Amino acid sequence: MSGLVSGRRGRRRSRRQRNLDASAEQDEPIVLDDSVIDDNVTSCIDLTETADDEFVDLTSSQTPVLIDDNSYGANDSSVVILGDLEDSLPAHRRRLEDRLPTIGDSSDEDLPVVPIKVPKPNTPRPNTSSGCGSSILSPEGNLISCPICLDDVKTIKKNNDKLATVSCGHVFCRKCIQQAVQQNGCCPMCRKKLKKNNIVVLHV
Amino acid sequence: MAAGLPRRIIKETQRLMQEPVPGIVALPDEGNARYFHVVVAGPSESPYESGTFKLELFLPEEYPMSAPKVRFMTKIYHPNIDKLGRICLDILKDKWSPALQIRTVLLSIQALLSAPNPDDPLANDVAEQWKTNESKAIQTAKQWTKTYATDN
Ligand SMILES: [Zn+2]
Ligand SMILES: [Zn+2]
Repeated sequence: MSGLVSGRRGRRRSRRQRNLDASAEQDEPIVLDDSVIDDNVTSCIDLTETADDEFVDLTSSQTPVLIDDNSYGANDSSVVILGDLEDSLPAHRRRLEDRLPTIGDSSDEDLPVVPIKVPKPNTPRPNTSSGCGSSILSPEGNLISCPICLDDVKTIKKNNDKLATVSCGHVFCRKCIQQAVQQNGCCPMCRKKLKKNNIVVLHV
Repeated sequence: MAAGLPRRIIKETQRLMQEPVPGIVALPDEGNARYFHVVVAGPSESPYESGTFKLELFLPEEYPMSAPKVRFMTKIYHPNIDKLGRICLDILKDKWSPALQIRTVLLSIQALLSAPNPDDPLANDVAEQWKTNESKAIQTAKQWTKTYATDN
């Protein structure tokens, strides 16, 4: 095995250790190094660690998802695929990198405008509902829905939850965005770094 | 649908049935609504063209807060897929977002077949072959497609 490979493995190991050390999570310096960025673009299974497995049982949680706060940092080129937007495009025609909206070098710069995910036509339209103040529509005229639980605003209200937004302007239900920010520390739609106090409940 | 299955999974499953992704079939297992049998058609103009690749996809308990687990069941010669069918794809690891869905994951896998990326830090012989002799690697990928991914 080459020195490069073992170097990467070393870095991955130390990253994992960092994750175990909760106190260190926000204090890591952001390393602006091409090789690190490259490493972050696609992180891989370390084949050498589990090479003994003769089968993979997807239903077991043998590989915990490694969430590294720093990997969402300002030096990162993140990718987000947004359902309906991509579905209509011939995916196989394009290279992966072209297909995925890539967010620039700074998490503070303007982020791509992302259409709010709207429910499909079988979702009740506001004019057919009893409509007590639930007519919050996307630009396409559909009820706004949470891109995480996929519930529309009517269902969200029925479940005694509310819509909420964050500093990048993406809209979710409160329950989902709270959970997502707690787990990942970033916006699920654009990966802008977020903290709990960036969540604003919408009283609509 | 099984009781206790989150509404999101039910909705995703319904939509996968009603509006399937072109070139992709994903059917929930009869006994386990979190387990999907997937077939992806090899993209045209790729070495996997005219092959059909079986995958399995499992939605863990924490889904959508954690990524689905996906694996190729059909043998495939690809620098980002290992011999056990495990896939090297950022959105299945640290780039997962709960706003991604089964269909977006499968679209990304389809795109990965169109755009193999041997520069990933995946230490295996396929990636090495892809970098040192790409035309031979593509030839092998075509051969494997014929051998393992045709008429299965
Ligand atoms: Zn939600
Ligand atoms: Zn956002």
